[in-house]
Amino acid sequence: MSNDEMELLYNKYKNSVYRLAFSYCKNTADAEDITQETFIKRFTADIKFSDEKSEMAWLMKVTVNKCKDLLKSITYKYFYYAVSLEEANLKYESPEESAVYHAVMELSPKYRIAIHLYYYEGYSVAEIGKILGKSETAIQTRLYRARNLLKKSLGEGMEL
Amino acid sequence: MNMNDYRKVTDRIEPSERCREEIFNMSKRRKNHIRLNKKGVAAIVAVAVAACGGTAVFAADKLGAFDKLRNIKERTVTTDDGREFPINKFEHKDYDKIADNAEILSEPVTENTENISISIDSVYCDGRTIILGITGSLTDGNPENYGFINLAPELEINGRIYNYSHSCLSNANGYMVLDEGAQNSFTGSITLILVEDEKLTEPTEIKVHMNDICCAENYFSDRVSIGGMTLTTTITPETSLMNNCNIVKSEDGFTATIYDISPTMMTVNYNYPIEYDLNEEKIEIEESGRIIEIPKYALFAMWYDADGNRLKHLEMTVDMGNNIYAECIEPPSTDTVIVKFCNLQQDDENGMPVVIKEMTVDLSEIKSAE
Repeated sequence: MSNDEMELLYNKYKNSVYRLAFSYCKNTADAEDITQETFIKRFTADIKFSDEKSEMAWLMKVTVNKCKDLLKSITYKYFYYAVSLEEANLKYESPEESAVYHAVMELSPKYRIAIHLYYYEGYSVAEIGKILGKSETAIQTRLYRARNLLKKSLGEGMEL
Repeated sequence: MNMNDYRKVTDRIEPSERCREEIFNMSKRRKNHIRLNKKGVAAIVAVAVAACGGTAVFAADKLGAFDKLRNIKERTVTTDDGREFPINKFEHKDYDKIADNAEILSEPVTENTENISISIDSVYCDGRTIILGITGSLTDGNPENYGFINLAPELEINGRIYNYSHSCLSNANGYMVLDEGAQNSFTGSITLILVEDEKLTEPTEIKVHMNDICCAENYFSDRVSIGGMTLTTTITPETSLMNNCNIVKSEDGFTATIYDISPTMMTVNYNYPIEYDLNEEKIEIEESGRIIEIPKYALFAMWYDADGNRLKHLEMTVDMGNNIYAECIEPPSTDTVIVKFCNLQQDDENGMPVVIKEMTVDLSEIKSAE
């Protein structure tokens, strides 16, 4: 892959990959490491995609797998419940933004990622199932439970 | 408030220029990945200032008991004589899969006695297997440094009591272990496996009676009783987690049956030609200086995934009804499993039982619920 092609790819998908990784890891260092690994894999993979949608789904799947590997590492296994959200690069323009963002980031990873892929990336339940390697029923259940937890956390004023 | 608020905050998150440079430098070098920042998880906490002047809030994951138990099989305890054992010798469950498929209760169910406080904070239920995620602490702060709490639970469901003497409770244990690095924070689980015709299909209230809770330094130490309590909660089974595949593979009189697969187990059975049971053929072995005759065959089945990894027996059986008892195996991650019918009476050159028959069972057509 030429340098120009890599630049094009990176600029097109960097935010989606990074934002998904950050929603998993909740800190810049690990999210950027995951981003690097994902793009290195893309640049070195001999794959042709039929369209942008397929390529993006592939990148999402690789990112999710890299995040899962990270969460299975010894560091995360032993300090998993000490992970806090890294606030340094987050900006809120209203109390509502802060409340909703924190409520989502307080969800357990399996709920948080389903919410991110559904509401932020706009994937369907079926598409999320393919990315996460789960059945549609499992994804529907996760979204249902996540919404209930968010409503519980934010009150009836939260529209979902 | 709505998800647009989440979108707006997320839209402002971008990777740094340093991240980009590192990617393109590495691409040029084609070297192995070098961690951009070696600080890792525990060291990354930064000061946050919301643009609107709100207070900074650090959002830690609301994790359930099962998340804290993900590494339980790797934890060990050393007894007074210096031997090392698993922290709970009967713990075979894969909490990665359980945590991924469990529900974290929005409001944990908690009870307190004068000695202990216990909560149910997560539930896994596929209809047959019920696993409750339990956390607790001792009222006195744990000055004795107990590391293990045995719960000896009885579960009451629809008026029926299930306890350790129930045929399907052979691997049931209710326990908690001290969290790593903690003085008085315990995490564990309670498990119940129901017989086939008693599986749950709808929300059901269960009462967890723990009549004799005992504390100990570790699983092997003497136990001190601290009384009991009852917790009540309603479980909603997630029956889609159980894939009732009912696969039967037969070759040359050998049969392998897979009844169902869930995140916690694969229930299986097997049969082989009757001549292997008749014990008409004998072999001679030497034992204690004497030559004795033993039956030539004593067959049993070992299960493997497609990568050659042995799938562990979970040391329990499930009553499938009609006098059929299925063995429980850890569920595979691959699309095929291999069944090896082995003869316990003969070893190969590697000291492993001789394989009489090997069959591959294809699981790829099953839409896994996991």
